Amino acid sequence: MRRRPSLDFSLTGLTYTCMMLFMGLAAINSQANLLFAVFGLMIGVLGVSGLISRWVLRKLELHRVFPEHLVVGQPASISYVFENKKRYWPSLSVTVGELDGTEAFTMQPQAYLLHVAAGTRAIVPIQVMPKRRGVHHFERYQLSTSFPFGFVRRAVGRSHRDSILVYPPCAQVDQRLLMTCLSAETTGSRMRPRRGGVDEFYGVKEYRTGENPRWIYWRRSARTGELVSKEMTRVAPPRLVILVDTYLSERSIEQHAGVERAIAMACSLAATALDQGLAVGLCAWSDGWVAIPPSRGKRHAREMMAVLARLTLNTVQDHTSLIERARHLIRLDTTAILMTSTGLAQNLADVAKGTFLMIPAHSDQAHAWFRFPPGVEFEHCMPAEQEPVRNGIAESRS
Amino acid sequence: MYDIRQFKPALYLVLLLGFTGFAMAAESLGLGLFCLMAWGVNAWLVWSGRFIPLPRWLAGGITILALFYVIAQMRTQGGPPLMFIGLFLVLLQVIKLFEQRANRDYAQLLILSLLLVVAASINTASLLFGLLLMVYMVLALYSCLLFHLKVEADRARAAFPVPPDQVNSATLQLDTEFLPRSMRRLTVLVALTSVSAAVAVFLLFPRGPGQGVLGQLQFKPSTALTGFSEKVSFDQISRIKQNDEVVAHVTVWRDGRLLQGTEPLLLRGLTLDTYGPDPQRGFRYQWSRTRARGAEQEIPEDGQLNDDTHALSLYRQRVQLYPTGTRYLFAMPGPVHFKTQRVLSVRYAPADESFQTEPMILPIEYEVTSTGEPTPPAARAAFDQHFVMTMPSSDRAVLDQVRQIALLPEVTGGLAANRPRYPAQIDESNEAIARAIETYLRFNFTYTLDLTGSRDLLRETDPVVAFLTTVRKGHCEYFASAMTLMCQSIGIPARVVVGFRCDEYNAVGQYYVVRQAHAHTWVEVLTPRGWVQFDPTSGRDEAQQRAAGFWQSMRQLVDFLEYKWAENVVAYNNRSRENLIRQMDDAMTNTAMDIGDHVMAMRRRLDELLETSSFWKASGTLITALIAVMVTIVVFFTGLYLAQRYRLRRRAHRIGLDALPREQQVRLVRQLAFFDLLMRVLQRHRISRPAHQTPREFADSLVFLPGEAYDAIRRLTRLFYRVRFGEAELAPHRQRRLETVVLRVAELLSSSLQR
Repeated sequence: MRRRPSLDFSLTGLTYTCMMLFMGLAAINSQANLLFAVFGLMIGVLGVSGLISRWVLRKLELHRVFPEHLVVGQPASISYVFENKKRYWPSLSVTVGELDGTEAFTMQPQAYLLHVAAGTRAIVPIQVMPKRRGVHHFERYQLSTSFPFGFVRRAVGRSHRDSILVYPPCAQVDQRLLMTCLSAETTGSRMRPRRGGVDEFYGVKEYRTGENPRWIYWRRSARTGELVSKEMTRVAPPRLVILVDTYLSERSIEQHAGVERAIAMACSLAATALDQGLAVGLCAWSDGWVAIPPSRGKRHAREMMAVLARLTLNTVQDHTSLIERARHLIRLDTTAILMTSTGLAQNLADVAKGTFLMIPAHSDQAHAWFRFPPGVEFEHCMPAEQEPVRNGIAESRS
Repeated sequence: MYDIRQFKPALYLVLLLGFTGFAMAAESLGLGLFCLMAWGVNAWLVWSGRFIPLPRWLAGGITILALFYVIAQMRTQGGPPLMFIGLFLVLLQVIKLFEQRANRDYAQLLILSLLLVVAASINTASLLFGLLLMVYMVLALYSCLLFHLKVEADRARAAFPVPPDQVNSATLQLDTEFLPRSMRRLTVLVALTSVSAAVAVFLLFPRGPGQGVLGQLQFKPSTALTGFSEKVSFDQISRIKQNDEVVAHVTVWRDGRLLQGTEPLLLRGLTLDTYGPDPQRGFRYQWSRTRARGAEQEIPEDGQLNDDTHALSLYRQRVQLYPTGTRYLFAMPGPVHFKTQRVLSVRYAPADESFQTEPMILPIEYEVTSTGEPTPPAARAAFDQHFVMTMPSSDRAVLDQVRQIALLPEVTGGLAANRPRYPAQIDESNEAIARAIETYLRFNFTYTLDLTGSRDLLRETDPVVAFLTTVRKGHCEYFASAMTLMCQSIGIPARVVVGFRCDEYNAVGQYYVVRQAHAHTWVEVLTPRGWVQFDPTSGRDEAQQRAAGFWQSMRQLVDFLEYKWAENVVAYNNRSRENLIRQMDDAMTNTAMDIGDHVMAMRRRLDELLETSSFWKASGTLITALIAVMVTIVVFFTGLYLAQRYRLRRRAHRIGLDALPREQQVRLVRQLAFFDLLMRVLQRHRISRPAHQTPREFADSLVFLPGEAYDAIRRLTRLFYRVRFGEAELAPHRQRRLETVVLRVAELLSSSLQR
């Protein structure tokens, strides 16, 4: 839908006008009074069609109903709620098209309302395919109609601010990756026992004042002559911390695509791991360091996805800074996974000291472990303002 | 999305009306039946689900064949092109009906149907067609609205598909329930607006200029129909069928009083004075107009035809004449004044008092004032003298034969003995002789329309001679011809008059209905008092007086409606338009002037009143009284307001809203009136809420009350919370209902306590 002027004469209207003039000529030529009546009728029809097209759009309010979030590459449903506040007249054949925020989708969101009676509401769902992550704002939209006869197309522009958050693409993550993540631990077992719990016997330690006297191991204490207490295990799930390297050394399409892929991989892994009950944390640069300690739960998942969706352009902080920044999140019981757009094996060996699992975005293993939906285009997955510019022209426009 | 199912039935109905209208206009029953059959078959196929559209190539081939057929018809039959264009449109529509598959085809069908109806409108203007046209237009508008919706919905379905499971069921239900109603409302609006525009254009659009710019396209040519004819000949011998087609509507006033059909109406058309063969035209026996030919002249501006004012009565005739294929206008004998509203070129021949105009394609209206009697010779002396002094140019041989019959004693009773054929004489005996001949023919000959049995006799010799001698039966032309020739053969100037003799009167419209079946010929004989009329035709065997009764009245009513339709719609012209505009202008001016007069009168009265002293006394008292009343009203309402404020404040205190801001307090106090009433009802039964309990706790503690009352109190308390803390709003009708609920609780409490 292009930005139409408020009144557009259609081909049907032009044809009708020609027919009407022909009728007038026939009436004048033949002086048949009935033809004058038909001519007048056609004039009346033309006039009333302009009037009705204006009435149809009057007192017609529109509200958008978005889902909580969208995901790039996954079709989603948006609803438009039309409310006809007229007392007597219906609204028919109205098309609504978004004028803002259209870059978020593969096609401009448009909906068609067949009919809404006076004083009622109608809900029109549409299918959209998001293609860019981030927060997208919708403000202006256009209502247009060619009712009743299609002679003229009348359009009005209105505005109402809404926003929607689009998550990065979510892939199907291979289970072997998760197993690999977890086996990166030195003990090699999935559920490692840790101290500080109350489950099973872990070991003995010196009793300190203030500790729970119930755990004093009396037998050993009697044998050694020193008070010792039992240390029990805590069955804690493995912890993951995902580091997302979004550094761009140059603003090329390939690098951008790599970064987006890395973000998408991070998002997919986080979603899958959280789904399976793992504690997941995040560290990335987004106009400032964002460090989320590992945790579990739906709210935490939403928070992480939102952060990943909102990641900004990064041309300042490379992987070195990222790893340095993430150190405080990484403990002995934490597996760190670095999602990066480039291969950094050599440098990483120095810096990571063997506690990182690195997954380059374009590696074969990454392609094998992460299966994205076919429609996802990483070259255009970033928010529109981050789109790289080539020769002064944006790479793509929706 | 809702599927627009009403479109196809509406489309089929539109097509059916279009076919019917065109068949009506073309007066072609066969075409109508063909269309109906094709439409019916197609409709049955579609509705039964058996329809398979024709392949495009086949439909195209049939279209070409249809085109060839129409061209062939045009060549063989001839006629105006519009008829054949209409025929082609009909065939095209039928082909399209069997080819329809997509929206494009439906659009083509609608357009073709509209063009067809336009073609029909050019040709016919009957009332029935007019009514059909109105229904057609409304239905076509409805169909076009539905079609547009259908096209847009289909386009949207293709462009923005929505999975069926995501379609909102509530919206679908609303569409099912309300869409037909919405469409009806819009159709009514569009129809009313369009019809208003149609009426405005019809009434106000100028007529006249531009007529015939593209040539005449009507496909009903102005040809003479059976009945009246300018030619009276005897070459064709057949059975004449009655033609009931209306020729004219005539309203007659005699000396200012409307004639109520008490006497038959005689309308003269033209006169024929010479009988004989016309080899050039191929006629053997025919009458022609020779004496008065070339004597036509323009009617004066004032319409006065002669200055004779000696007539005993004057008959004013207002004639609405339809195209009959003749140039002649009709009027009663003795015309003295002619008037027409339309710009017509009418020529008057004083020689035979006939009127001629240009060929008519539209109905015309004119007024003639006649004496109903022969015009005195003094006014026409020159013409009559010429008629007398010129030898009769009728065939001599025929005249000789006819003279022998005319001189028979049983015919003229010896009155015509020794009268020469030439020169003709104008004396007193002319009338008596003519009367004798008239009587002879009336009582000795039989009227009939069927002469097929006497075909051979009529062909062997001159038809009039045969009629007088051997056949002795025939229709009015034979009778009139026989009498005219008999008069001419004995030197009496006579001529045949062709016109109408009508006795059909429409009491509803108060006019005579002149039909083709009323066509008649009679004789005029020149006597000293002018051309006297004689009708030698013997009694006709068809009933002249139609029996009165319900059906006759209905027929008259229908005829009246047709007449009004023709008068106000078909014959609407520039003069009518100017009159209408003038009337509107006069009405508006008069209204404005009346208002102005009223205002002036009121002002004068007021001035008079102000000048009198009693007015001032009365006005002073009146003003004092008014002021007192106003003060009382103000005091009353102020007191009411203060009392209400006090009541609301008390209520707020009881409910516990004192701490709230004023505006919120006022709003909540009004909304929570029901709760206050409930508390008072409970207090009346000595049930009060302790200060330490919230309303909810208090309501829950009332378990000892009857179950219905307990439930009601708990529901009302929940509602209290929603309004007090949840910002819910109660509409006035809901508040009233809640008060009813509280009163019900009061009744329950009272009845339980009594027990």
